[in-house]
This record gives sequence, structure tokens and C-alpha cells, in this order.
Amino acid sequence: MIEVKEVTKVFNPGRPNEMTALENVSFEVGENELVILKGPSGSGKSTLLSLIAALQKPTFGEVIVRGERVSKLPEDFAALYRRHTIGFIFQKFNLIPTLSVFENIITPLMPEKLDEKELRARAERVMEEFSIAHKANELAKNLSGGEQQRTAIARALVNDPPIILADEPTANLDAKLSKAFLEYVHRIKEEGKTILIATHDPLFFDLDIADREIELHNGKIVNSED
Amino acid sequence: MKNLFAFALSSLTRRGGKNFFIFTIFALMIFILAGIFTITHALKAEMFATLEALPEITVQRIVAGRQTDIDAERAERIAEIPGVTDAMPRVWGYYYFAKAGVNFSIVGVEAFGTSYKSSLESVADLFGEKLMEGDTMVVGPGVAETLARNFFKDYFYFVKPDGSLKKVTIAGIFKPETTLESNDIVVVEQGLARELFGMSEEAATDIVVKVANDEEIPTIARKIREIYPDTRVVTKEDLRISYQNVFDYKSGIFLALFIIAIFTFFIIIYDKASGLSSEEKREIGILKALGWKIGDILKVKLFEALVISLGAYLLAVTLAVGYVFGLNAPLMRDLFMGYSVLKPPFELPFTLDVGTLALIFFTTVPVYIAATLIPSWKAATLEADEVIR
Ligand SMILES: Nc1ncnc2c1ncn2[C@@H]1O[C@H](COP(=O)(O)OP(=O)(O)OP(=O)(O)O)[C@@H](O)[C@H]1O
Ligand SMILES: [Mg+2]
Repeated sequence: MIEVKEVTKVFNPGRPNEMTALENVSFEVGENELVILKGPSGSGKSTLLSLIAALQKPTFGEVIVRGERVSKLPEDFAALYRRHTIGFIFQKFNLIPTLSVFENIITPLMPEKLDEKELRARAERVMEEFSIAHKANELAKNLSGGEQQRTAIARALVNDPPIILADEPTANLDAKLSKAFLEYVHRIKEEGKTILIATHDPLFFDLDIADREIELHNGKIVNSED
Repeated sequence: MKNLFAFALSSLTRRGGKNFFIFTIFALMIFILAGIFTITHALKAEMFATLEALPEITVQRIVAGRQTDIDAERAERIAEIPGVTDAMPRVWGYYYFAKAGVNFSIVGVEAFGTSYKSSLESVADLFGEKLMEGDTMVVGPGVAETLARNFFKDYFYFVKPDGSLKKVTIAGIFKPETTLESNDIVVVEQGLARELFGMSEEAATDIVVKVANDEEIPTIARKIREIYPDTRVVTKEDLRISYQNVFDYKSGIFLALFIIAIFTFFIIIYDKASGLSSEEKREIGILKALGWKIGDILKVKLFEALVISLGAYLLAVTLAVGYVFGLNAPLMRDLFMGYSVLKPPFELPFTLDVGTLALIFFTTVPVYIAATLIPSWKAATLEADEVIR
């Protein structure tokens, strides 16, 4: 499903502030696998996710997703790839605070040629699934942490993408909400999605439902166990 | 596309305060610009329409560099010049009514004969047969009103240059439809006009000349100057050119001023727009991560800019046109013309300076759009990975 091949990412190459965020990283993620990407702050987890999402390009190596060399995609194709293949759950959720829950959730669908009815139907489906439908018209900035979390998950899933990437999804949540998030992850996995979670939250370590853990240190993989 | 437009609209209302401010400033500037150009255009049209009604050639006598009375008999000599169809002495001038502090325009006509009466009847309300009673006048509504306010309802005592009084009866009032031309006017017989001005029997104010063929006007003007070297011969063409010059000069200054104003305005706008707020940058990053193409993001920004700039432009131009032609441009009109106190609030003729309105459009709307799009484009093309860190 996802192949990361000898990927190196260097920021500001050749400048005094040159920074090698990833060094010769290789691994594979199979279909419907749940992989936990762990490692201390600054180890390159976010960078790795953004390379898989084609938000950035690797300096060396390549990323292949479902047979497609996404690390070589021109910008517009990369956007289409993200739209159809990737669901992103950001750290702090990154909702647009002045949009309603409903509007936030349909944002990934806006560039598509969908009519009002179709938009509603798709949003309703994920809003029901993550119990946020009753807040559909509430502005995102007025939501509680748990509601923001569910809205963010609903937004990531509204396009029905095969791959879900989550970056520190529980960093801003209390223990109870973090637990709830695990429940959602479980459910998403059962829907057949492939999931990659970057985190240093111990809650995710040694999970039953996790297929694998990959640990990064200073941009290098230190273990890759099944 | 429709969805992106809807997104742009909601995005505009989300930042309502800021957008409303820009919209208002933008509309205000275009309103002022469009107002000024529309009003000068209308005034120009009005001036040239008045000019059309003027005689082809006017002959004035100049003594010591100033216009003075001309011998009415010269008209007969001028009429003999080949190509001239008619030459008529005119007696006219201004009478200062000190009590009200206003000027009347006194115009002498040949005689209030029966034939004259019928043509007067179509433009004025005549008071029965008074017109034929001698020492009578037909006045504009403005004059009638001013006199009535000073308790002269039926007649008026003019003060002649020698200080003596002359009683003249009001025989009619011009109808209000003709106000622009006749509001401050007093029409009397030529003899009476001469008496009021203290002019001698043979004198006239000037002589107007009618010419059969317009091509001959310069030649005839030259001949008149040869016969009477002490005259100034003004042709309609001369006036047209000098009017044109005055207007071109004035509009030129305004144009220069406002182009400078526009530039300043856009430097400010650009300055503002170039520093996208971190909130806006973040939003662009989110949209990109959610699978929006750079083009999609720019489309939304374009729609936003279009709604603001095009909306403000259309609103402001509509308001300006309504202000000038509907309300008759209060305030601004006074800026552009020092009209005599008695001139009524006349209607400006409806003419639109489409070229200038287009010029305003092209110096504002596209510039604003560019000033909005460029920073967004910059933010969208840079690797938008900040949101995921
Ligand atoms: N755009 C960039 N320009 C320069 N350096 C960058 C950029 N993005 C990331 N880095 C650097 O690369 C390294 C890895 O960053 P990354 O965000 O991937 O770490 P992380 O494992 O996600 O850390 P955290 O747990 O704090 O989120 C860090 O030292 C970071 O400063
Ligand atoms: Mg990170």
C-alpha cells in the first residue's frame, strides 16, 4: 500500500541552518494495517507523514502509494492524490474556526463538482458516525475538545480515502478523550482503512490493534518490529 | 465552481469587519472619482449645448482693450458682405438689484409687436394685453420671485445710470420649463433697454451675424475686421476651442490628481494584503493538505476579490450616477461652477462618460484583484507544511 524507499529529507540544504530531518528511511505499510510511528520530538515523524501526503518532496529516495510514485507528482496531481487517497488528522485538529462543523467537514469536497444534496448526504454520513450531527451548525471555535476531535475525524473521512494519516492526534486531549480516539481508530480500521499514527503518547504503545510500531530517532529508524 | 464561489462568499462574511471596511473605502473612492468625472462630463455637455445656440459670429467694439457700445448702423454695412444672410444689433447687459444683491440679465428685443406676442405666448404666461401698453417687461420666474419678495408684484422701479427712476410694468413671466435659459432674464423692448442702460439711440451692445455657409465664417470674420479695425470678431469656433481648452485643462489636472490618489490607495491596499495574517496562511495550508489545488485556492481568492472590487465599483458608479442626475449633485456641483445666485437648480443633462468610467474600472478593479491574489498565490505555492507540524 505504502512504500517508503530510502527516503532522505534535508531542509535548507547547503545553508548554515541545514537540517537532515530524515535519513535513508525505508519501510512498507500493507493494506488495512495500523502502524504507530513513534519517537521523540524532532525525530522526523511529521516530516515523514507530509512526505507520504505529498505535501513535501523527499531530497532523495521515493514514496510509492498504491503503485504510484507520489514523491514525483506535480503539484496539481499531488492535490488530487491527497483529495482522493489521504485523510489527514492534524495535531490541534486544524479546523477552520469561523466555519461551522458542517462547513468544515465538507471543505475537502468543495473543489469537486458535487451538488448540495450529495454534499449533505456525505457529511451526514460521517457526522452520524462520529456523533457530531447535533452540532452541525455550530462554529468550530465554539466546540469542546472532544467535539473538535470528532469533527476533525469526520472531515478526514468524508472523502472515503483508503489511507488515514494522524499526527499527534491526542496531544491536546485529556485521558478520557484520548481513549475515545482509540475507539474511533479501531472503528476506522474495521472499515478497512490503512492507518498511520505519528505520536509519542504511550497510550498507543503496545496496542492490540496495532500491527506494527516504527520508531524514529534523529531521522533514522531504530526498530521496525511486527 | 459553484461550491468554491459559495465558500468564497462565506469566507467574506467570516471576515466581515475587515472586508466591509475595504469595501466601503473602495466604493467611496470610486464614488468620488465617478462623481467628478460624470459631473464634469455633464457640465461640458451642457456648456456645448448652450454654445450651439450661440450666433455664428459676434462683433464687439473694443476701446482701450475693453468691450464698449457699437454703432448699430454698422450692422447694415456688415449685412452687405457677400455670404452674410443677416446682421442684427443686440442690446443686452446686466442690471444689479442692490437690495437683493443679485444680477438680472436685461435683453432688448426689437418690439413687442403682435407677431412677437404670439411667439412669446408659447414660452411665457402673459398678463392679458399689458404687453402692448409700453414700458413693460417679461421676466424669468427667478426675477419675478425676487421682485415679489421685495414687494414689487406688478411693476418695478429701475434705477437708471443718471440716478433717476424708471417704472416698468411686469407683463408676463417665463414658464418654468425654460428656467435654465430664462430664470434671471428680463426681456424689454430695445428702446427701453437703451434707456435703462443709459445708451444712446444708435448704440448697440454687439452685432450678431448669420452666415449661409459655415465654411465662409473665417473669411467673413476677417473681412469684418478689415472694415472695422476697432472690433473684436468672435466666432463660435473660437469659443468652442477656448471652452474645450478650459475643460481639457481642468480634467487633466483632476486626472493627474486622481491617478496619484489611486496609486497611494493601492500602495496601502497592497501593503495590507501582502502581509496575509497567520490565520489566513494557516487556512491556505489546511486547504492544501485537504486536497485543494493551488488553482482552487486562488479561485476562491479571486471570487472574494471580485465580489469586493466589482461589487464596490458597480455600487459606487450607480450611486454616483444617481447622485449627479437624480439629486443634481449637491455640493459637488457648486465646486465646479460658480453659478450666479439666481441660477435655479437646473437639471444636468444625462450623459455618461463611458470611457472614463471604464478607465476608473481598469485602474481599480484589476489592481485590487492582483493585490489580493499575489500574496495568496505566494502563500499557496510555498510548501504548506506548517499546518501539519
Ligand atoms: N520546513 C522546515 N524547515 C526547516 N526545518 C524543518 C522544517 N520542518 C521540520 N524541520 C525540522 O526537522 C526536524 C524534524 O521535524 P518534525 O516536525 O518532522 O519532527 P517531529 O518528530 O514531528 O517532532 P514533534 O514530535 O515535535 O512534532 C526538526 O528538527 C524540525 O525542526
Ligand atoms: Mg510533529
